[in-house]
Amino acid sequence: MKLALALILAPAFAAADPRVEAALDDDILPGFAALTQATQALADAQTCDVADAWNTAAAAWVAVSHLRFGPSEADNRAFALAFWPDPRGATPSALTALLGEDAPPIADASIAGRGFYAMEFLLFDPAFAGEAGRCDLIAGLADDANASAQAIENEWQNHYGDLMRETGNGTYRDDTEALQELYKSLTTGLDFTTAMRLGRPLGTFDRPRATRAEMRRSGRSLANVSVSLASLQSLAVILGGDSLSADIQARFKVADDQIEAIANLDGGPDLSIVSTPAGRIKVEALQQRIAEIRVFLAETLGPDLGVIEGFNAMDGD
Amino acid sequence: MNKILLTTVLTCAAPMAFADTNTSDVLTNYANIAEAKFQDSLTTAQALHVAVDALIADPSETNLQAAKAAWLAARVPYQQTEVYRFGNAIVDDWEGKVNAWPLDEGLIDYVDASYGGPTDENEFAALNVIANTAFTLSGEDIDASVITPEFLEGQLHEADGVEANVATGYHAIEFLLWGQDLNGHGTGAGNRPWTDYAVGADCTNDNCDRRGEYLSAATQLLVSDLDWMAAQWGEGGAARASVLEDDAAGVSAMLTGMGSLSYGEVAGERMRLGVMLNDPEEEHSCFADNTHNDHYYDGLGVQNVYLGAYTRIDGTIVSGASLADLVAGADAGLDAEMRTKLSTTMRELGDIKHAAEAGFAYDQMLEAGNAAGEDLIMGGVNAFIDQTRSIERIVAALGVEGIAIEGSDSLDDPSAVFQ
Repeated sequence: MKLALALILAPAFAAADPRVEAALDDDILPGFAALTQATQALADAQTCDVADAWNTAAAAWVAVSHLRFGPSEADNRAFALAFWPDPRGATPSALTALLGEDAPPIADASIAGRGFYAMEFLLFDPAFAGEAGRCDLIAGLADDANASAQAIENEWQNHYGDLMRETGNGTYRDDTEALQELYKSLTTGLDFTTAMRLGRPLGTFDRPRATRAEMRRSGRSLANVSVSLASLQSLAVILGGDSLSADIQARFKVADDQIEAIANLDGGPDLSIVSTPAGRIKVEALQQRIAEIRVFLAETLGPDLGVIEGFNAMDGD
Repeated sequence: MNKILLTTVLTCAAPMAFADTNTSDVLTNYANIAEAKFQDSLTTAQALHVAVDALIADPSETNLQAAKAAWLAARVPYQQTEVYRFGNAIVDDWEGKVNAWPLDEGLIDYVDASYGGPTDENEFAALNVIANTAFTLSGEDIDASVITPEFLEGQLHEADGVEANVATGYHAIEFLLWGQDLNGHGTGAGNRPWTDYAVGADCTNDNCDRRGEYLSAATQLLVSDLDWMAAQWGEGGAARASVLEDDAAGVSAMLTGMGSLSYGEVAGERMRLGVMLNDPEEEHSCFADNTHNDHYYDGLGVQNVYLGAYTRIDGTIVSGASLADLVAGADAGLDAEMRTKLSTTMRELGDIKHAAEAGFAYDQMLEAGNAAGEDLIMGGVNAFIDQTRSIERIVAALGVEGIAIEGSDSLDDPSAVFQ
């Protein structure tokens, strides 16, 4: 009898966790809507002189790049939008294949030849400047990116958002699992910036690797760090609520100040300053500030949300 | 770099008291299984060494095939040890010497013209040390006139700090036995002629003596590395001591290994990326075309660590108190869920293995537009991802209370990306 009563009453109490609601409505859904719009503008361009539209779209991607679960994982959509890092140089060879005679349809092609990073090669790398078919391929990749972005947004709007709001389903057994997913995307985003966006070009002191910086051809390397941190801050503040938001903001501010200090230097935007000892120290300092944010969140926000650290896609080697 | 990064470990809140299962018994059995797996890996590597020596002493097609068969057999127990990575620092710090992948094989020996030369990422991608007795590395003259285990381990492996410069371990040996697989997405593995090891005028592709020297040195090194690791898990060994030192940390190591191998490593790095790149080189054993077995035995390793029972290469069974018992004591439903998901994964990996053994090569599955191949591989990927969710639930159910900073190599260690 008690059990039956509980079941009848249950729906009346099934309000979503307000932090999950806010993350969806104020952060995640607007972020993916912006990505759809930006890729639409890129796809609508009538010329292949689309550096500005590409920049806007690339930034829109970076802002949601940490949300690598659910709709962006389905059908490998996120990978089709963004394949990086590329330690074996798969992108230029995939593009060469796409420009060749027996090119596969873009949707079937290697992910290394699709998305924002492949488009960056076509738009900014001199090796592709004179290639026949370049303009058509840029247009094709823009359409493809827009289709992926739309598919992600549709799934968030029509299905996945509800899974996170109304937990007790096969994906999220309870609100804590939904919160954990958000927390994990936050920490994964910080780790990715520390280890990849900054760690790859830093290399070692004896052997800095400036050419491994993300989107260095377009000079977006540092801007991507900035865009990503802004987006992560927004999510962290929502999850942290009143008790933590001031502390969270203060820590992100310190990192932002360090970005400012690098941005105006020669070799700052593409992070090529890692090649000089003086420049390297500044980038290491930025990396350190971000690592400190990560520690702070792990010590405060994680326990506050009652979540475990969990596994992420970077666990492999 | 590593120092400033936060590393986190799953930390189970002590004390973990479960009605019928003693945690230290679970950990002892976990260490016993590790010891057996590494001993079996050692035994099969020793057999490989014997076969390799026979090939070099008496080169023939028969002896080349025998060495390949010994390599394939050696992979069966070794892949089942991979679940001990990620959670156990001692294994992680060592693993790159024996199973590093992917490799720029042009570092080692001759390659086809389609391979290309040095790349942006790797100046030494086409070094071909077998053909070159001296080269310059970061301004330093390197003497490669004699290829010894010490040379491979100390100078050539990860030369110039590039991970793709894999000079040692199973995959370097694999390349020396099979050669490049030049069949693209077609069937067939690498087809190195036995005469690459022939003496005198029969020698093909030059430097057969140095090729033999390399193969012998790399195999010796594999044997000594496995010997060392097996000892670490024996009575009084450091790996065993580390696991038994603290119940909570020990269980955390078990779960970290299971989850990280399932999700980030095999499902992500090894399986899904290959499908998405449609690249036949993105095969874990791309020379031997043995990738279906690599995945299968990785999955089996996760399952047998959870169930606490391992069948050795001689058919005997090592078993005892298991993580499954521990979970069942806390939440019987969750134990059932985990068992079901592990079984599902093994069925999906079995489908890939069976199809590959019946002639649908892993290369072919990776081809762009090959829907059946993609479905097979993604079936395995999705099952690994799904079982990782249950592993996370187990972490929660066994009483994870927070995180510890300054962990060892572990879950969510971003520096792991560079290993």
